[in-house]
Amino acid sequence: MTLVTYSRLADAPPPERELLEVEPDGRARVWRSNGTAIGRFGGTAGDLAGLRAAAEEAAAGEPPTVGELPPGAALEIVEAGGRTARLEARAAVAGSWARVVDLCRGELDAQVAWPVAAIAGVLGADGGFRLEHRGSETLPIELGALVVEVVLWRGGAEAARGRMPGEGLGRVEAGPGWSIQLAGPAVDLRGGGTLVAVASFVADDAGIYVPVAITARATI
Amino acid sequence: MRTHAARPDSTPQPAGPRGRAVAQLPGPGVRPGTPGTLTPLNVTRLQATAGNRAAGTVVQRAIGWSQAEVLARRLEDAMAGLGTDEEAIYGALAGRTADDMKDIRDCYRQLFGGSLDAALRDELTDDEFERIRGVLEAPAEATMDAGERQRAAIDAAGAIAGQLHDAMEGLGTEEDQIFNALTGRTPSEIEEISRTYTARYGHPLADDLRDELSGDDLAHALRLIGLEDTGTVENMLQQHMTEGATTVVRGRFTYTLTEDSLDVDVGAKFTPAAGVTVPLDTWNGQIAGTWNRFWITEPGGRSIDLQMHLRNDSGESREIRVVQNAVEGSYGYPDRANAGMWYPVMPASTAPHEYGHLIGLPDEYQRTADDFQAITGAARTGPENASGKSEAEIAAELHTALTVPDVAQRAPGATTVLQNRGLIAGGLAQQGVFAQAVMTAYNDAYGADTPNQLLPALQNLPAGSNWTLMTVFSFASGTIMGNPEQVGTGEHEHPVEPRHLREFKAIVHNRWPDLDWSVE
Repeated sequence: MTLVTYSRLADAPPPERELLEVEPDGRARVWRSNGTAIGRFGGTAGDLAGLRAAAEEAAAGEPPTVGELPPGAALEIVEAGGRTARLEARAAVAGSWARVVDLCRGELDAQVAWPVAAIAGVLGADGGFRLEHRGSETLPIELGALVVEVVLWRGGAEAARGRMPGEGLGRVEAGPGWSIQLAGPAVDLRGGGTLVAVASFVADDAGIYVPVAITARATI
Repeated sequence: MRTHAARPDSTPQPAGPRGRAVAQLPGPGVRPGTPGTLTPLNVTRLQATAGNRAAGTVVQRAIGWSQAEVLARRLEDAMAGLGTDEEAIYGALAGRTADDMKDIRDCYRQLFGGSLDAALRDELTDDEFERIRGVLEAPAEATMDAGERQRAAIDAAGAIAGQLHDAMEGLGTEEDQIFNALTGRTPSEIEEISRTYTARYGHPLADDLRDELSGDDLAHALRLIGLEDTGTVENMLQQHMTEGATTVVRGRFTYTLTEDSLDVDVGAKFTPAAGVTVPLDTWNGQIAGTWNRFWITEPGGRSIDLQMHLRNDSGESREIRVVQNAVEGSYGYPDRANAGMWYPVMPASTAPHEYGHLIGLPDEYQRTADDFQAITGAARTGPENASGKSEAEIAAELHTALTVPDVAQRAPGATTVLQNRGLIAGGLAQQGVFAQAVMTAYNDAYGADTPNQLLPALQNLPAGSNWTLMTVFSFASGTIMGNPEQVGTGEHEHPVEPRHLREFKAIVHNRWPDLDWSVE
């Protein structure tokens, strides 16, 4: 029986499908659809003893149940000790479920350090954006739907913005060693700022198509 | 959207008119209640796990919470003491939807501690009760298709016009029946009621009200039909998410109408995190750039400039948290704004989208075909069926995939079917009439009971496996309320379409009903 499962889901754009399972021995399985890298990940829970204690504490209390969500919000579903909590993503949680929710949120991010079949984005100071495979297994991706969006932020405002669809790249079986330099939109980088690039496309997770978005930042 | 220009009965009272204890209701937007009581919040919770969830991503309209409170009190007034004011009851219930009634019942229960239906049954004769049975037992909008909803709206306008006429014909005038019939109607509903009334009875509603009423009663009635220069419009929409939860749009704005402008004021309580400054001027600039580009005009040359504004009001019940960006000065993952949580730095389209919710507009993505048609008045066409298989055959393949014993294989199997038949291409959902025809064929063959219909079957797939599948059978627009980044703005589609401004046009039309107004 799984120690804890956690999912963060949203149908509002950008769709979210963040999934975490931690086994009693600490092995973790993760799927990320948004972030600095997407795909499958899996290592060992960083604080297994803490997670066990938090799961027990949660199971002993009443799980939070989501009421109404604001439009655009994501939903978190956390299962521990045979009980299920549903709450607004990123909302503060009080009570017996607070610790397990916090640990799951942290573990979801921490597991990105252990890629299995993943794609990461690398943004250069010249605005060049490269996708790179990470891990040991192949991740099929559909780049026919690729869109690259770049925004240069300066002084808290958009100084420049560009958007470019990646026509014609099609399906790729991205395995170890695979990478691609993307032809991003032309954006005037003079004046500097924080460059945020997002590559959106579709990944194939064992026969399920999942919209994904890789975000990378660079200081210009 | 529901008008509540006047709220004469909304003042909390110390005791119910029939001697029962009276509770004070929370204001609109306030999260009320505990899990044990039937509040809108808890009804939403129940809906999220019960029948409405299975109906898919359906937008449900419901009367504004404050309006439900007004009507609950008026119904109690009509039943209080010796005798019963049946006409006032008929007026209050005329044309109410099942979702309106749910809120009115909840308010009544909280205020007066009993069942509204039981109280009505107790007060009315069998014949009288039969007159309202249709409203009490009306089907939920979520169970109606677009045609049924349209017919229900027309029937409602007719029923309300009839109530108004009943109240004014013959000797004497039933003021309460008039007020009750007009309370909680949106500007566009008032527009339809007035049009229906004039068509049926041969003279304008406003003229008859002026003939029958005077003084404060007349002023109140004219306010309710929009013949005033200021007012407040309120609504509530429930949107059922793919994941089974429900998001709620709470629209509320006040307006001031002059000879040449309609000013729309939206208040929200912005609560910034420590160290965060609320950039209201920036957001208002973005909102103005999207929304303040329209005029409501008529062929004679009159032109009303539509101006919208966002105001930070610490007294507002709608609260928006403002949290710091993950990387100060820029917006990007993990930042994720929603209607209740903004960031000081956001893309220029975000505040205008969220403003749309604040004036009561629904999202226009992951909507069912019926919803999309109801919201936009149009359907996207999408690809033709070039698969060589009939829709019924594809539905059969889909049904086989969705009923294999191994639940984990259902979503991949369904994905393969849709990909083979051209409804998923390059990993992207291909929305349109072909997909809808497959869904219709599926529901005709297997969906006698709601849980067996296609959308519920997809919704019940394991968490996180159904987004693309459900997207095939839903619709999105490319407007500011839709998903322009995924859908793209169509050839004839703009960020703001006339449908988004429908209530504002209705406000102007209700004020000057003899002129032919349109949005430019």
